[in-house]
Amino acid sequence: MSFRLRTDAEKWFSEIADHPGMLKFDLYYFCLMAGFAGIRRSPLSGADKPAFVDEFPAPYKLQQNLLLAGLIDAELRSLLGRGVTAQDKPSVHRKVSELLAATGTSTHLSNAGSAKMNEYASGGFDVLVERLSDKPRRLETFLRAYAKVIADLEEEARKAEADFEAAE
Amino acid sequence: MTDVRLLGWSASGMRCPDHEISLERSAEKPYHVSLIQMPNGTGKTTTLELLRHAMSGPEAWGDRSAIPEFAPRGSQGGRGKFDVRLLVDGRRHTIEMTLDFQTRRDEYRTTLPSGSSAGFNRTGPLKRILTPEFVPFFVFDGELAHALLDPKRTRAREALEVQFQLTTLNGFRSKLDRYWELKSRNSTAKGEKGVTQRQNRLNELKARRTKLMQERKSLVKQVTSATEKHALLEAEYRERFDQDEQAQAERQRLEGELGRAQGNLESVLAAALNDVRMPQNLSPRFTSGLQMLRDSLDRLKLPESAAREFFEELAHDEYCVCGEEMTDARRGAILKRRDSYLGKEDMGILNSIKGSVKDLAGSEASTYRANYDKQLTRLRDAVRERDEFQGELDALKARRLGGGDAELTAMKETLDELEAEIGRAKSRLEELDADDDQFGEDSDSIKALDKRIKKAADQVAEATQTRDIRLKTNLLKSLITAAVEDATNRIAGKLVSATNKRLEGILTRSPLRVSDVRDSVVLDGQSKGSPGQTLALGYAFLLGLFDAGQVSLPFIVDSPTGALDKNVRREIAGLLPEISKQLIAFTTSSEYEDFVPVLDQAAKGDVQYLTMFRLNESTRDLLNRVSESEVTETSNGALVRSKEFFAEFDDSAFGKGELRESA
Amino acid sequence: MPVNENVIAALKAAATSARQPKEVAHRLVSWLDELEKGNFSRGTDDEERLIADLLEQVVLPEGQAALDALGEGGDQ
Repeated sequence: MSFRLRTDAEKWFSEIADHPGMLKFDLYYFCLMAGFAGIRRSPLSGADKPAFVDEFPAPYKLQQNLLLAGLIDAELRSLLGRGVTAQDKPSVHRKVSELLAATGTSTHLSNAGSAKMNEYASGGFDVLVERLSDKPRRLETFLRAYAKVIADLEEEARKAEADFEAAE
Repeated sequence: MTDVRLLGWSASGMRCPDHEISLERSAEKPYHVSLIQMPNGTGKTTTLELLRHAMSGPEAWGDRSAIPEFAPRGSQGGRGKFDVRLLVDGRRHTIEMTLDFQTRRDEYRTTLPSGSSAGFNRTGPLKRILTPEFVPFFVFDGELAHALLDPKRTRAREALEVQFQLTTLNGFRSKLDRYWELKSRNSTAKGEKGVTQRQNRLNELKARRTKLMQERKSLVKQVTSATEKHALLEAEYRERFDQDEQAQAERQRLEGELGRAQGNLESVLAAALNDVRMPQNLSPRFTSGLQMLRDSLDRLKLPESAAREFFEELAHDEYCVCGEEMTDARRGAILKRRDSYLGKEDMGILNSIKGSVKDLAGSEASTYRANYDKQLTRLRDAVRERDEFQGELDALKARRLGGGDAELTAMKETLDELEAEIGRAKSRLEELDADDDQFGEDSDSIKALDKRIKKAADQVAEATQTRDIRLKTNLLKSLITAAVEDATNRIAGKLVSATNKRLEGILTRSPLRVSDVRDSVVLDGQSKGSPGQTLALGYAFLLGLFDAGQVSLPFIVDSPTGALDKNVRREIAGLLPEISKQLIAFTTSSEYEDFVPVLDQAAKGDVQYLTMFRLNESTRDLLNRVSESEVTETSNGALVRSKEFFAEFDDSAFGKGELRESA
Repeated sequence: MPVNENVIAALKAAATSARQPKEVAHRLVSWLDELEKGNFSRGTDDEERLIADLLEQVVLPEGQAALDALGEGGDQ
């Protein structure tokens, strides 16, 4: 099992999905990065469609490792609540083993890893809907609006971290 | 015809004297008639009851409270044995019955040519004959004759039903009911109503589908014709638009610019799309996160230089790396260590990930996003440029329209309407052509509807099948009821004729006749016959029953003519040998006259004469009259096989000074 | 002992009366015969199959009126 995109997400992107060169995986990726930036996960339901693709498509082959790393990073942050330190070796070890799988798949994601990634994509979609009032109509306008959303999310996360540090 | 003969029986340790009776004239060929004379108190009744019990099986003992009554007088515990030897269609069938008077238990054993086994075992037709209900028909109970005539009882019908399998046939009806219950257990629509309901539902769905398909057809037509119209009208519109030469030139220039701007936009957009696919371009925080992760992994020395496999293999070696011999303790420690290392392949991925981070996102995190932002600015500018030209073109068109050219305006309006119409039709077509998943009842997706139609059709089939089973079983049940009724009437009819025919032969002077066999035997005219007539009727009926039931049974009867007058006695004596191929009658000496000699003649002399009595000091003298070969003595009884002895025996002279035992 | 001739005749007549094929009467007679011989000590599976086969032979009348006459019996 690999990448699953929520059914409502597919509908939301429907007007830009047919733009020449656009892949379904691009929609997934937009949601995923929003999920990482907004630190949001949400589970998929049985009503959502099954996996649409089982490996990273060609345009993503080069950077697939970065997405794997992004997943590990997000999960470690969630687990440890802060940056990694020396005594975290066993936890890191365990988390890595949990999310990756050497054999049986070209994505190098284990079943648990795939599921987690899908949850970030699902949560990311929720974030996008919250931030953008209208469904995307044209790709050229969407890309700019999307970049702004990511920047905003980052700023908020940075601020939250700073406040947290200050409070300590 | 199933042929059953009684070859003999033996009793020991019972209330009656120990005795062994053989009814065989020659090997496996019994006498036609065997007469047994036993004075009162000899245990005649006991013997008859033991015969009945032995042939009826354990069922007849009920709560077994009667068992101690068969113990010898004056004794408490102990065991008694009673064996019955039968010949069934030429094959020996022996039933051994043992009674334990102490524990009140009965034990049966059956011996067939194939072997001996514990229990009361009957096969085939014996299952119907050797039962507590049927045995009294041939180990004749005088009471039975009265019961047959008692309209308050149903003995006649029972006899009929069991004998001719009508009870079994009736039993099919409840088997059919059980079958239906089993098959319809999980069904929610069991009858005609259920089928109709489901069929209606199916028809509704089908009608809906037809409607939607029609709608689709007309929509497709509509889109095609509207699109054609639009294209034609648009060409006309253009033509008319260009009638203003200045507007035409301007339009052409603007369309050119727009085309160029659009092309530019597309290539900038393609580039931006490529860039956005690189996560490091999108998010500096993401990028620095990756870099920090890589550093952390390095600090933690992940992945290690050794792999799980190393420890795995080491654990199976004879010697450790340090050179010492491998022990279980060492092995355990190594395997424990193994679990905290990644496998070779996992290590590979991790290294590859770290490598990618270094290669693709190794520079300062914000630089990537900065570059992408520049690309986005270019995109913004390209969009603006395109939109400007589009805006100018739209303004031109509006000016041209606003110039008062009514026809041009009208064309534009029509074009807009057509576009809207096409849009609506296409949108509706999308709904109709939508995929079949996740839609509720209201969806107009034809594919989803097809799925529901299939389900509904399956439901109809299932309900139909269930309903059909019910109807068929009902039909069969009626059929069976009718057949049982019919068969009963036919058999009853034949029995009535057969019985009456024989009654004509016996009761020549009396008009007693049978009119019907229902629950009981129904007499014609008179409602009640004399005891003698009743007995005669009982015999005649049984004869008919056995005949019709295709079973030939030995007929064992106690005092066959006890209460009858002389003439009837003679007639019965003439008739009795015909009732069965084998007759065993227990008689008293008072019955001898007018009976035994007639019987002997009717049986053509194929008669055995047996006298049995308790042996003691006074009775021992009786044995002086006979030769040794004619006597069998046991510890407490004597059995004499002699016609003369039988004829001279006076049991009324018996019992003087003897203990009068209830017979 | 085979099935009594009167019973056979009655079953055949009942089948004809109910407009059923002879096979139905024939199977009922066989069933009686099998029980007589004690062939069903093996359990209820055989009997279930026998009933299913028997029902296959039964012909339902045409027409709603005739079907209605047969009655519902088990309608919930």
